[in-house]
Amino acid sequence: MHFAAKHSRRCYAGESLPSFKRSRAIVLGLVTAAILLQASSPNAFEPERLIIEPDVAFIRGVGGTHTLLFTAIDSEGSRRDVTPGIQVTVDVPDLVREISPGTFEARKFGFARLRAVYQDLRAEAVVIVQPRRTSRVDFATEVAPIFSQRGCNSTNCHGALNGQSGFKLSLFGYDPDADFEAVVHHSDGRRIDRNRPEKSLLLMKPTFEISHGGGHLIQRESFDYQTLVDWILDGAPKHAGNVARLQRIDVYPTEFTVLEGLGATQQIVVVGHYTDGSQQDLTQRVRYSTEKNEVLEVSLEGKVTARSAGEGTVLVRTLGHVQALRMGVAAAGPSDSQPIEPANFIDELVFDKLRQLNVPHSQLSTDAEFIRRVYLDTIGILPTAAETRRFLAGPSDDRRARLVDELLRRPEYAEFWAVKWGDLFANSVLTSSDGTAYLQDWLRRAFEENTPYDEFVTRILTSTGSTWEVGAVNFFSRSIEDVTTLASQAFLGLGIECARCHDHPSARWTREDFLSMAAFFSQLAGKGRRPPPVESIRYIEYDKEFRHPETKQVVRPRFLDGSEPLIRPLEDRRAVLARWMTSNDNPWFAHATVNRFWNQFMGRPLVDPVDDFRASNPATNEALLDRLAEDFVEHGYDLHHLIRMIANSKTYQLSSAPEPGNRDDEVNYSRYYLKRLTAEQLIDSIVQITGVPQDYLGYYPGARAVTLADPGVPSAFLDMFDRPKRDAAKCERNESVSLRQAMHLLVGDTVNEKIRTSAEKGELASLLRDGKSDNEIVEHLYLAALSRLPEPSERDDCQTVISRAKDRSTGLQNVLWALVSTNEFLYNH
Amino acid sequence: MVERDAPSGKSRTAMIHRTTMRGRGYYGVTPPGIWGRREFLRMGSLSALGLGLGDYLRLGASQAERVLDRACIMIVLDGGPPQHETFDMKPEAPSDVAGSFKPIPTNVPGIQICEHLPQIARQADKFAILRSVYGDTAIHFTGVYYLMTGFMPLQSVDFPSRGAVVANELGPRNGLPPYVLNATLDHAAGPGFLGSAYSPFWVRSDPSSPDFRIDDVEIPLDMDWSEISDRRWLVKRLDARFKERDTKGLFADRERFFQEAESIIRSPAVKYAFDIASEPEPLRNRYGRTPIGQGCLLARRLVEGGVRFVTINAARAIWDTHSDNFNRCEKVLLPEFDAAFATLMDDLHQRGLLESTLVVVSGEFGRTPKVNPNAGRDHWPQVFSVVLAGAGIQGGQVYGSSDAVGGEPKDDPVSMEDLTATIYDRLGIDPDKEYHTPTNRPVRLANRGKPIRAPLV
Repeated sequence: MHFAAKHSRRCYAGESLPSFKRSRAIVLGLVTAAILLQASSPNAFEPERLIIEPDVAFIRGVGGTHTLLFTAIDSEGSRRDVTPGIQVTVDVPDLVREISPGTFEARKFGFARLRAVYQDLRAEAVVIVQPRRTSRVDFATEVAPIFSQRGCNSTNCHGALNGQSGFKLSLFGYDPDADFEAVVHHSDGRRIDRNRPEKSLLLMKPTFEISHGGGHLIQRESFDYQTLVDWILDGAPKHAGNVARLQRIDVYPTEFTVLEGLGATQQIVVVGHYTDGSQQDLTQRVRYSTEKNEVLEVSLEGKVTARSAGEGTVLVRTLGHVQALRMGVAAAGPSDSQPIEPANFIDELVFDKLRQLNVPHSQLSTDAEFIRRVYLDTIGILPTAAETRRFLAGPSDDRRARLVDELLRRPEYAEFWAVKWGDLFANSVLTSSDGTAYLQDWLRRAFEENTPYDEFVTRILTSTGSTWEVGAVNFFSRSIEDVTTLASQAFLGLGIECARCHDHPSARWTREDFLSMAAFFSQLAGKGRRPPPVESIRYIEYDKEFRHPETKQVVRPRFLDGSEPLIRPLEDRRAVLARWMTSNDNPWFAHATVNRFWNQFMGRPLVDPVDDFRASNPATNEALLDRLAEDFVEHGYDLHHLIRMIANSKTYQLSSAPEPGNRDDEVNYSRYYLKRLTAEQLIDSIVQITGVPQDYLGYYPGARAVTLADPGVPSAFLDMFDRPKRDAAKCERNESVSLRQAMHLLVGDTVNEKIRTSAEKGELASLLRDGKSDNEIVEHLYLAALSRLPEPSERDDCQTVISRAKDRSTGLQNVLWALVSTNEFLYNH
Repeated sequence: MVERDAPSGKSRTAMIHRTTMRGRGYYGVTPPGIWGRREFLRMGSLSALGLGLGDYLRLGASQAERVLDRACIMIVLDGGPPQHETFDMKPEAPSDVAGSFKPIPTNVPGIQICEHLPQIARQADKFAILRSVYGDTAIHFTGVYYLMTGFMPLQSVDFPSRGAVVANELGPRNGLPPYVLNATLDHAAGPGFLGSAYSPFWVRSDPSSPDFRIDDVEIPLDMDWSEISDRRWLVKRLDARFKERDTKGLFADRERFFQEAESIIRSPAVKYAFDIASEPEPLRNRYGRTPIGQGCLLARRLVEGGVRFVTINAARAIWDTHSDNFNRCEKVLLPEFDAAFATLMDDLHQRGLLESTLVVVSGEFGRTPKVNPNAGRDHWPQVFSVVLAGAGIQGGQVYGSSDAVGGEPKDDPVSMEDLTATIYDRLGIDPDKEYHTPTNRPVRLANRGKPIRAPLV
């Protein structure tokens, strides 16, 4: 299927951006087509279209080469690399010749039309041969990146504090000027031999012609080697003037490609685009690697081979540029899912991808499973026994959708999501000092009012005033650098923290990017009142500038997409930043937000980790991420709408019980993935079931864990179950299973104490007092803990335990303990 | 996602890295429990626990092994003890600096300490005083974090406390958790990026209280094993029905933890190590029936039993004497500390444990040279005193010095990083060892601090 048309290469850092409107039209059209065209086994490949990628190829100089990809596509969009079986004719026969399948060498200048025939399909491309560019090599943009790519300037090598063996480079190349000095001038300039470049120490070492502690890092025939030779030949200049620089790389195939079965291959083609508008085939000059090499294997020449069913990423790197391609390998077994009618575009896109990969989805969850799941995911608590009874007995049409609407109006909804955002903002006494509770309260109210998310973020980013009156202002109770990191991570899903001190080692962020982003917060000023508790006032000083930590130069604010805004005098720079961030064209804002919500419901983010958007970390389903983001924007950043879309999708409502063909699927949502209950969900649920409140230091009796403003409120239980310390901004929590938890459940005081007290004066006591039978009480406890009725065999087992106990109350306590200790209770499923 | 070649010789770090990655939540798989499945396998199932403590001690590890087989007791005097009223008195200074206490001689000629530490004075041959340690923060919260991890807090990295690092490096002995915390310092005592497998075993209750018991290790009085068996039987029956939902072996892990938990709760060795009530009354009294006194006693028992790293503090006795410094020091803080630390020194020495056990005594910072109008002293990270003993530290010496008013380091300044390096060095751990965070950021254990060797060791 035309899955991820145009989108698998949706851009993150600085590449051109697709228009939402266009992408939507394409995806919708193709997906609709896909849904109508079910059937046909993956092995019966009957192509109906042939394409050549790229369809315009530039070759620099006679003798230069270019590789082209010939891909056949069938009616369902399945693709095959048919390069070896292709017949090619060129209308100017002496312009190029085919030196190996798909690779053409230029014989003279000019251009020609290239016609390809495969079976009865035809396609055309144009080949243009141009004069060779005079090559001058620039140090900062072409030489220095080689050190980064090869790891020469990492902490373990020459990037260490004192360098390595007398040769010191700046860590990850953050200081090209110093690196130039180190390479060209230090040690009496002995690293460079301008007369015999290949005898330069700079080349002899990494090619291991001379012993090198870092090993053999550069091949003599490689593009990098030639770049270094050219640079030294040219006199090892610092700046190369108006040279064409590599601006971006395009990687083909552009669409998500599924390899049909083990051993199937796919060639990759990489084309470099230069600042002078020229292009060059870099297929043989880039570095390839795979992230899941048990699924995909890639050769030095860029040929990918399928190793096992599943999905993997191929990374393509050169000169500081990186691109990622996701490819799948279809499963062999027959996939026989029960067809489910898609509820919305989510299902269309998820089911479509599963079909391409030949992975079945699980069946729909039961109503009992659904009510428990949607309560936990939306408002963070279990349904009570009475609520579950009512739901299961109610009219069946639309009841799931009506339940979602109902939950969004519950007060617990806002409390639950405020905790998640408190985690995200690292809201603790450690950072927000005495404003913690005010920020938590602000968040709760913002979720309660369902503030559109663009406004939500704008209000935070532009807040001023007292930390005790304007809760949002506590967002700024940290250093400007920390605010910069947090705002980028929380709102844009970008991890730029590394660039605070040095250029990012694996993403495109430079230190300049970080500092220019920080400059948006330069006008922040504050006054505190002491002694504690400390209220402080945040305000704007319009003429305050942000200075470079070393050079002390004023740093101008610049957005992370590289553009520089016009800022008027007496304008709050943060407002300018907020406008850019929350504009409909921002490439990250909506995507990062929907990714976060998707993760909270589905248990796996589309981009994983959830706030690590970068070119080398593509989404598992780009089309879905784009479509969710676009829908979110179209609906005015309405969080309730987003949640409804997700919670009402059949994808969300799939059972967590695996089918034989989808046990190994961890990224394509073929079933609902288990989530361990969070610390607060666990204790609040146990309190609700037993009817025995938990006390927290400094909180009113009966306060629920989800309302605690600060992670410093002592609770062994919450810590044991991974309540975060909030010392770093994090949205996801650990879901540990530990020995300590087991010990605590067995003999610890939290759960055992609640159960004991429950029989004395809690829920269990009132059931006993009401004269309920064992069977009735067991039924009630099942509904309260597991949101379902017991099976007959389970009733028998419970009865066995009750009758073995020294008295009835003890027996029922044992049953209750067992229920809250089961995996079915511990996991949201 | 740096896919550069990993530096050589860090397979263990790579393992940590994996553990932490697994713990990142959405995979649902997570690091195992407090001291980890891996460690359990290493110590060879819980039959090892059948080995009594006495048996263990009688096995008599060879001398060479004992050097490697080190442990650490960290006594945190949180709040920040005044150097002028403890180990770095300035009798020559003006009276608003010197304070009202007098120095007394110790059993080491030439070394004087505060008159309210008479018992410690008689043990001075066993420990070294570092008088030139300096920190970087005057805030309790960050200071304690700095003291316990060796790093100033950083938003991007959640640093492990030293106990967690030691738990990871040295692993458990004798079926006991490698890292035990009996102090209300949990914000700085965690495993950081190493993941919850290296969390401390937190003993929350006050060891000096008459009903002291260890959380989650002892079976409640109103419960018996048959009841627990019934409960577990029913859980297994219920879990069987749900088993197919797990595609990653999570449930099997959890079941194994339940089995291990039962074995530990039934184990006499674990109970014995925590059982300070079985110590002779006179010895308990000598330590002092205070949190810090009984905490020191508990620490000694635990180290003796096999725990690698024990952190204790003085619980309610906080050294944050902004006012009434002298009365609080004289009446509560100094006497409690005096009895506890002196008895610990003597006890470790008597049992031959001092050569394998490093003892560290430190606050998160010192206090101002000048006494304030409330007869108190305020926060002062510029210089303070730390006491080190055991594990090769040569007792009976003073290392480094502060200036005439106890305000700045004078000779041989010791940074918090150097202190961290020295601690790791004494425990046989390379302070320059590099760990990697989940984002692959390299972190050196002592943050480039240099261990102090001669003449300290």
